[in-house]
Amino acid sequence: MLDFDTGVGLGRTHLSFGSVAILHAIAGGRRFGFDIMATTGLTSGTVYPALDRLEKLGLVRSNWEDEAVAHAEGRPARRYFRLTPAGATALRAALERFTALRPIDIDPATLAAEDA
Amino acid sequence: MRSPLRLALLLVSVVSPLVPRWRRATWVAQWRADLWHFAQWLDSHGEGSTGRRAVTLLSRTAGSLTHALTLRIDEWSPRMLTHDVKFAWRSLVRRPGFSVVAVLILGLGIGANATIFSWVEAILLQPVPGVDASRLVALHGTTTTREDLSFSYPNFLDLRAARPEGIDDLIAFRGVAMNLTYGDEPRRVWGQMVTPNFLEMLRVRPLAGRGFDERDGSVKGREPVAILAYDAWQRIFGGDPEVIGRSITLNARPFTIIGITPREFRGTMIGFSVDLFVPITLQPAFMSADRLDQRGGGFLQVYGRLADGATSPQAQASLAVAAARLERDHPVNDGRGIVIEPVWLDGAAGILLPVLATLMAVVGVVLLIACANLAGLMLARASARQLLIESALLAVGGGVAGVLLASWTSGLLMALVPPTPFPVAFDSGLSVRVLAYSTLVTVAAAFAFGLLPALRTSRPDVGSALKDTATAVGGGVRRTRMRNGLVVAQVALSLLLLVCAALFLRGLTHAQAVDRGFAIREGLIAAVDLLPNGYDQPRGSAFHRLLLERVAGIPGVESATVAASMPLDIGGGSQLAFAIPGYTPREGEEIEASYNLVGDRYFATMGIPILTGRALDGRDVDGRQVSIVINETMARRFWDGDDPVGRTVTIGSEQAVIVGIAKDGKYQQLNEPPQNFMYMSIAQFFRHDALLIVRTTDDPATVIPSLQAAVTRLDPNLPLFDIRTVAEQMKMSVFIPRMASVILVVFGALSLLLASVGLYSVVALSVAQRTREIGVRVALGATRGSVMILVLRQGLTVTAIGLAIGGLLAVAAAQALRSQLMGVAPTDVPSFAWTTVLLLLVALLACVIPARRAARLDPVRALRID
Repeated sequence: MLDFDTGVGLGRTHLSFGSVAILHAIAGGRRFGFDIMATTGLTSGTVYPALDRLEKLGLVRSNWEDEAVAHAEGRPARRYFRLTPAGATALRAALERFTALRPIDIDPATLAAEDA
Repeated sequence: MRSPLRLALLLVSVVSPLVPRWRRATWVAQWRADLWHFAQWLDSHGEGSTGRRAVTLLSRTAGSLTHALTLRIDEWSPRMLTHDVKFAWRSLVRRPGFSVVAVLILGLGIGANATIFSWVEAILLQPVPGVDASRLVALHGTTTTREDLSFSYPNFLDLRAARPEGIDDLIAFRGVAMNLTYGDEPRRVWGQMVTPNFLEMLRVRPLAGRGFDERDGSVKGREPVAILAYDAWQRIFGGDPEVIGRSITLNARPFTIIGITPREFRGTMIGFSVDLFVPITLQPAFMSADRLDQRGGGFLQVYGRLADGATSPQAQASLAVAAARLERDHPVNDGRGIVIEPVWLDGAAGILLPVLATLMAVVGVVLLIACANLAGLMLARASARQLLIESALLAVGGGVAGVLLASWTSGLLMALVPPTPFPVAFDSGLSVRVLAYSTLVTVAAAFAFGLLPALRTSRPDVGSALKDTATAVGGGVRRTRMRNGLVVAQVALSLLLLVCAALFLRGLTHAQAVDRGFAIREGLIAAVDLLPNGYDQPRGSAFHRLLLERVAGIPGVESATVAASMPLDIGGGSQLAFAIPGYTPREGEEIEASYNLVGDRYFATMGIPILTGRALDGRDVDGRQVSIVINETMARRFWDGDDPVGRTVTIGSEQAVIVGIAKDGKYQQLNEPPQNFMYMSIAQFFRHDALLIVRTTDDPATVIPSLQAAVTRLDPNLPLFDIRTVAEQMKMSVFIPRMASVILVVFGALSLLLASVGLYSVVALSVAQRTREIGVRVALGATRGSVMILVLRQGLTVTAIGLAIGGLLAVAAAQALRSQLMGVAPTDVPSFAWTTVLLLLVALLACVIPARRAARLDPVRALRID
């Protein structure tokens, strides 16, 4: 469950798949923890530690939402994440590597027949 | 999702002390937001019941623990960790008294849990030693009213041949006592008659030689071969490696030894250790009557192995189909069905299940008390980090102490098992699973007593610390409140255990005082089995008569009889269906009664009064009119108001005349309701294996040699076995309540001790904290009495709250235990009253010591303390 593969020392492009998925989600406009989890399907025990590590690596930056805004909407304040330029570079490099993350058209030949 | 959310947020704040302080506020805020959003999302999108969604939400908090741990680990460099551990170690060594007490308290709590778990493992998780039983199921025949019938051999063969879907293979077996002769010495051993696929299906590979193959079990009476169990090989043959191929005599027939089973395997008679295995096709050599061709008479237990990927309901469904076909093809199977259950529910486990569940709950409560106690003691620790490391160190110590304790106490299971005529075998010991469980319990305990105080410590109580200098000694108002809360919990849980112990003890006394319906107190019981030596009914009955004549002549013997069974013996009784001419059964009513087969002078020897008519005696022999004696309950039930003596009942093909009515008694269990019972003459319904029951005038032990001599004189090859006194036998009938009482009293006493230590430390600490205040009071003229009352009031208030909560818990627990209380009401006033008084007295004692210290305070020194 613990994912220590932050890629430190291996070059920034070698991020774990989970971390890349998180960067990918942020780049796609998912900006706070719950939202990132909902779109990546990763568990809370993976996402939050990974976000902390990505921030430490300088790939993302976080800021707390204004209390007043949150209060007005009747919910707790959110911690918003944004990609840093380094983060954007790392994501681009990673997307070269993890081709599976790119949008594709589903080839009908790859679909298994439906069960009776 | 309001209250689950609140609980989830509470869990997050419990975990929060793990997070390094500088990150904590952010961490908590982030998790709050996450859980809030998730709860919202579940409300709008979630599927399943409210309960299911609550569980989903709560399981999300597991992520917060992972998150907190990663932050904590990021924070710790190995050097800091070593430093912290060294610091904590030194701090523990500096207070050896505290550390030793803490390790002992934890060790007792963890040891108790490990011990009981090792028993649970031996009985439930490892029901068939040496075999992976997880895919094994036990099959039972059913009728409309019963679900525990055994199988006949033809039915088993057809069932196996039908290859029911979802079942890989089926085995059938039957345990049986036999006489083994090797050299000149005859001895009694326990064997299992098994189908040839037995070892293969259980996946037991013989240690030496071979297993049975289809040839060994295909032709009736052929291939007299036997496989030895490891223990018997060691015990009887001294582990001789040349034993394979040798001939032994079993019940006067030669058998060839073909193999030896591995040491761990002891057969499939759950809880019993079997000496050897023989093919089922040799059944006529070991039981009266050839049953191999009888479809009607069930005598075999059947186990099946679930096929890979098959579920129990699937197997159940296909067996139902097979059962329906058996019913259609053979009228004798009319109304019969088949049910399956996991093998761990089979046999002794079913009886012990409620006891084990109670024990698990009890040791869980003991551990909770231990944790509450330690948490109270740990509250004085300064920082969260120090607390965590110290509790981890203490937990390691406690875990080791607990496992050491359990390695000794887990063996006590065998000491608690009563002497039985069967070789009992439970593998209680420290297996990997027990160790894993102990580790889990240790970690849980460390979190419980380490994190709870850490939660408070992490919120420094600055306000009150500034206001009140007296709090400097032990912490602020919050901590005091928490400490009091922990003592309340200990007192409450301790009362819970004590009340349960009292209820069981009263139940035991109650059970022992119950009228068993028979008066014999001094006497001997011994078993004689005539079958192995080839007696038929006329010779067997003659032997019984001659034996009783000889035994009656032994000095010290008052009266002697033979019977098929003894009331309140283990194993319960069997039921016999009968019909009453002129009585129409109600819809669904089964007319049946438990019964015993008894010889001449049974009622006189046992001291069972005959109320009307006569007892069964020497007149009731084969060839004469079949006579029976019934008990009061049966007489009332079927001949309400009329005199049944002289009436007839139909038992099978026999017309039996009722000749007398015997007083009611207890037959299987001391807490059973009155039930139908009938006595038949053993000379008319002959049984090869019988008990010789002897009533003696004084110490029964002195009669044993003459008893054995009497048997030897009649037949030198006949062993008299399983000899016990009537007193031992009676003790066995209260075995389970006695065991439960002993264990509950031990744990109750332990919990009382822990709670009193907890109470003492709280009151003592509070006296220390209030030294200055008390000094002022004394200086202003307060008397010693009023100071004592001041301190006592605090301690006793905490106790009273604990007692109130504990009383409520105990009422609920007693309701749940109702069926095990042997007739004592769950609201039994003396049990509640005495334990409350006991706890109050102990609490008073725990408070008096610090109260006296307070009363003796010298005001001058007290005021100078700062």
